Amino acid sequence: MIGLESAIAAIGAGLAILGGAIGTGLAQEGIGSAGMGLLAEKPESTGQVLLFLVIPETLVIFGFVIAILIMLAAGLI
Amino acid sequence: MFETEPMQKLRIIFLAEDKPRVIKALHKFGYLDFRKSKLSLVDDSPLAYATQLYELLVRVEGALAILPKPKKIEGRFEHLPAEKLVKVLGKEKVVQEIYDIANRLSMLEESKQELEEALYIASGFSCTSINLSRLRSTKASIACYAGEAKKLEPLLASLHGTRGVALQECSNGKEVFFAIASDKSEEAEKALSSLYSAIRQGAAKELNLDNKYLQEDMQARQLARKLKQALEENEEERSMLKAKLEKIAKGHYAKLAAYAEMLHIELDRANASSNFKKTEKTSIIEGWVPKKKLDKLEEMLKKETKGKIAMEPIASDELAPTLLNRPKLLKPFDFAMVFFSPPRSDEIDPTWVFIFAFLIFYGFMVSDVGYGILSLILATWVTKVTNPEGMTYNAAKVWQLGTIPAILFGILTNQYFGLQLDQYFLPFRGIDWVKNVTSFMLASILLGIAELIIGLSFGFVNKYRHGEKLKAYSKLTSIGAIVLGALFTYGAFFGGFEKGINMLTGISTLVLFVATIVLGGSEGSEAMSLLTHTLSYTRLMGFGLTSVMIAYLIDLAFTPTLAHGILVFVLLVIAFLVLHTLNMIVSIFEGIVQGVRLNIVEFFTKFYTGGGIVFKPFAYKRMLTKEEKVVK
Repeated sequence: MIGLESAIAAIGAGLAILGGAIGTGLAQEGIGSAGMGLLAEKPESTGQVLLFLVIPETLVIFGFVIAILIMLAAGLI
Repeated sequence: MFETEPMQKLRIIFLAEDKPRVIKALHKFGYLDFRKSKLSLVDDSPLAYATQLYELLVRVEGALAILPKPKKIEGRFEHLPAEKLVKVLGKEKVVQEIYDIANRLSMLEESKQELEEALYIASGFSCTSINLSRLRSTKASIACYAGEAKKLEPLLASLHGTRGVALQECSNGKEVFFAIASDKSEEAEKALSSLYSAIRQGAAKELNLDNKYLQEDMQARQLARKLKQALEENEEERSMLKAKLEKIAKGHYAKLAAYAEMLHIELDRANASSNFKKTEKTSIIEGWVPKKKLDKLEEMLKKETKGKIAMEPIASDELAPTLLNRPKLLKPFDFAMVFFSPPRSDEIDPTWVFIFAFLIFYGFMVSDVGYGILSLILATWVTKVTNPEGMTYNAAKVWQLGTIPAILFGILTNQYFGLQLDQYFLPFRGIDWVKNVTSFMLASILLGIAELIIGLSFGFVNKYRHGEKLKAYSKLTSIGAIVLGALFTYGAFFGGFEKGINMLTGISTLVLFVATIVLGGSEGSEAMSLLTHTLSYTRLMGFGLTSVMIAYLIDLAFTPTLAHGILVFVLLVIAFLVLHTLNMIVSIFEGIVQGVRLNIVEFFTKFYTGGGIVFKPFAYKRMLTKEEKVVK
């Protein structure tokens, strides 16, 4: 049976990803809509728009790394 | 390796009488990028026949656009000099024939639309005895409409027998066609008001039959028959003309395309002199040439002008153009660099690092033999069906190269569409992603540190060259901060070193961090990004692990089995294939986008300025024509 500490660690890991994902989502909302506006005018800018769109994904990656570190420390993986 | 091609700006002076020969030789040489001279001399102008060539080119390219393009355009035609080309094209009757056919086709297309519209109306009224020609002459206001039968039929039924209203209608169940004549009396207008209101709300559209179809005194049914026949004749003639165009394309497309190629070459030559300066007896050209081509250029021009030429290097503050010249296999990466922003000629060219780093990152993130092989097939197919000059082709070429590391990483991590095989051909079972998360994370951070150190070293060289010595030193302190920071993290958090060493590495990291801020001046804030950019490389592990886990879950839940009957088996096969395809698409997309992103955002920001001027030499490419014969 899983202990309380491990359960709390698992919830913590989940929250770390959740925070990163929400942050990324909020940032991508603005970039995405502005990017679509630009693409309507200049379809040749697809590459640049795509690149700007993925920049905030760093946040969710950090959340993911923190989650893995928590799970490692708690002996979950 | 890390420098763009060294360039030299030149001034070439020669006799005006040699101009056509020099232009032709430079065009063939293909390594001179013209710049307008700033000497206070008279500007030269395009050769006299340039306008004539331009008009001919537009005409030939117009004819080519009309013709259906054959699947293969083959042939090698003798190059004709401008004068001869003008003469030959003046006599060439096929171009005029193509335009005549196109004009006739366009007229027939227009008439087809008119006929179809008239036929629609005449067929609509063919169950009535109405004579549509009467519509022209009657004094009463007559209008024809078509609309939805269900809505309009009750309204039309209520009009039968109304004084002052004449109604002819014909319904096919779905649509009702009706013609209304009214004497404009109060009673008639009142009866018609609800119908008109429905029409205004869009229940029916008014039909306008062109006057030319109302000339003959015949019933709608007869008119419909006549129009149908006219339409058939129209169709027949169009088919015949299209077949004629096909035939012309088969026999003449390659020849016309070759003429267009010759005209392009001759027009470029005719326009070239607008870049020159002139005196009464001489012409002067300036431009950039790759240094390694200088001797060849001099030798060639001396031969063309019998030695009557002067070539002198010019010292210039102007930024030299950038020439990226990688082997053919890696050309798509040059295309990607130019698409993003070409390197300036006075900075380090990072394309080689970009190539290797991208391929490793992509392989790391996809790391599946099955996905690699499948995407190799797909990428190869895309390169076969796309234009080699286009962006899709070049992206597919990069993708194609990326499949090799993806397969190699797949073997290393034992991933075959998410399944782990015995790999009997290897002495080991592969490194399990799930059991070695920490190792993969460490590997991705180390890859990041390696790339950032390369980037900062490039930054040091660029800044030092441009005389910004303090900023250059801040790049070195950044390298120190990253290396010592990594050692400190390893020692302090993973127990790698003794306390004393940890203290030393910790303090040194802090000192180098502050030094980076101080020395960097306006760019000192870069110090803040050292940690985040290093950690950003953990996405390599993140995306790799995600792709592997999704593939594993698909296998776990949807591996086809016959245990629950054939229907379940078929459904499982479909789900298995669809989900793996989706995972593969996401994995490839993320592999490309994140692989490029790590290079552009994390790596390039350490040193790259970009915005170089792409080298555009005065050159041509022959596809359908032969090199001109040398006339002695």
